[in-house]
Amino acid sequence: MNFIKLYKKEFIKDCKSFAVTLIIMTAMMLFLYSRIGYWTPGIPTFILAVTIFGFSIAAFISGFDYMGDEWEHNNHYLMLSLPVRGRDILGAKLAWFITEFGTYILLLGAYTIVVLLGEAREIDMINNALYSAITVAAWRTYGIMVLPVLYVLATTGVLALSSYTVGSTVKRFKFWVGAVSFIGSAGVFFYLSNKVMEISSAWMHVEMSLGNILAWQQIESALNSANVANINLASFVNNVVIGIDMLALLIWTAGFVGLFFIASWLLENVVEV
Amino acid sequence: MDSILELEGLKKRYGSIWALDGIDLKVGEGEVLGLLGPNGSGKTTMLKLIAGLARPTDGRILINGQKPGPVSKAHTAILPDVDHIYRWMTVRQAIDYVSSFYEDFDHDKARRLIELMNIETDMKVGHLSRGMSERFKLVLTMSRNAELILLDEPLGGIDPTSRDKIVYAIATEYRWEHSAMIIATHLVRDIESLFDKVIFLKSGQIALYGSADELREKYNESVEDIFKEVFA
Repeated sequence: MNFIKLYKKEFIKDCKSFAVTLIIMTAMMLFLYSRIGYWTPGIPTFILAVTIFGFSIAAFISGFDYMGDEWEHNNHYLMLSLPVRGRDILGAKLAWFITEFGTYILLLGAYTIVVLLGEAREIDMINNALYSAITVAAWRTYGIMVLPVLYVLATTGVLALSSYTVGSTVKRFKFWVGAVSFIGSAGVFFYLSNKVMEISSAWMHVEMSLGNILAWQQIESALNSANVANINLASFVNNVVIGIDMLALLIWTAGFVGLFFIASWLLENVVEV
Repeated sequence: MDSILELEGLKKRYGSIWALDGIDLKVGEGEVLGLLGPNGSGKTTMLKLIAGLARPTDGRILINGQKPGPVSKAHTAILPDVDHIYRWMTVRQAIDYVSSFYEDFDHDKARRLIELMNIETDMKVGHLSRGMSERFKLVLTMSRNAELILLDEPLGGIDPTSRDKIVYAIATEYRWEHSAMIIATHLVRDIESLFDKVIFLKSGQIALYGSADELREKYNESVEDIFKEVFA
């Protein structure tokens, strides 16, 4: 399958830097973990959280490079002369983008939780019951965030790859054409998803209680049983929810799938060397 | 003789400049066509259009009855005039990568050509010298038994002492008898013995077209001398 061959090429190209980055991340986590108890509480976790933020920004910026690299070294002559469909080329680049940055961000997320829990363990006032409640809350939050992170990465990748492709359809003002395509597409999807949320039926609004996700009940009972404080987290338990409007999500998904296929068509039928 | 390539009223415009202006042409199976002209005459543009790397402004291109696209690309081999192979790949990786997309890639032929061209397979493409890089591109193109082979300045970066050997290799041992070949060049002397037909391009239009032997007979001089006269 052409998609697999193209994906393999992306992997071989980046596998060394990918492995080095993972090793550096792991070394960094181990170092920060070893600083627990020596540094001011919260600093090791904060550094990892900032690193996640940095990688998110890097993902946003380097999405363009996945396509731009081909043009920079004239490799687009080879890419466009291959007997493959535009969707295979873009699909392979998108899949590698999600693999690479998905691994970075999810691994850093897991490391942050490990360090956070390590720091929590060091705090005297947190007893075993409270620690296990925090552990459940932290890993449950992580589990719930996996799919949204991958979804956001996929949409970021589609937007970056497609706007670069649109920019490549012209000989001059490539950057501006790509930028207009990027901002225009995102703007249209935001506008449409906001509009449909006004009309979508109640049953399309899926809600999850924050109390269930963050194990507030366990945390509350752990705090109260330890007589640390008489805390009432009822408002969190009962009132705070995370909502997803399925119609808006559908609009985003349909928009990005459409954008992907338009870019694939442009790559196959309009883009020139 | 069946036509492998047909061009009808082919035009290509970049801004206000017509790079090609109404080209009609048929290339048959087993034919070698010399596409001759000075820089900027439209040779590279014509090859790009045929290879599906650019789109015509007007006119029609048919390769075995198919418009340029993924299907025609499976039967067309192009050697472009730029270094298009990934610099981070080794020669071996590049051969494996390119060959994986083409059923007509002949690994035996690639091995023999690599030996002939004296290329180290463990070297990175980015570390190849200019001449070696040109020869390696030629290996990748000529290792295919493609129906249509497009060579854009194939001898451009190759030293004069190696040219004869390479020209001979292209013409005889390594050429698939059924493939039609278009060679765009302005180094006419080194390669004119290969041509069955020649086409002289001037400002995107055909200035002269015909059988190489008939033109030699008619003008009583070599194709290179005719080239000099046409573009004087």
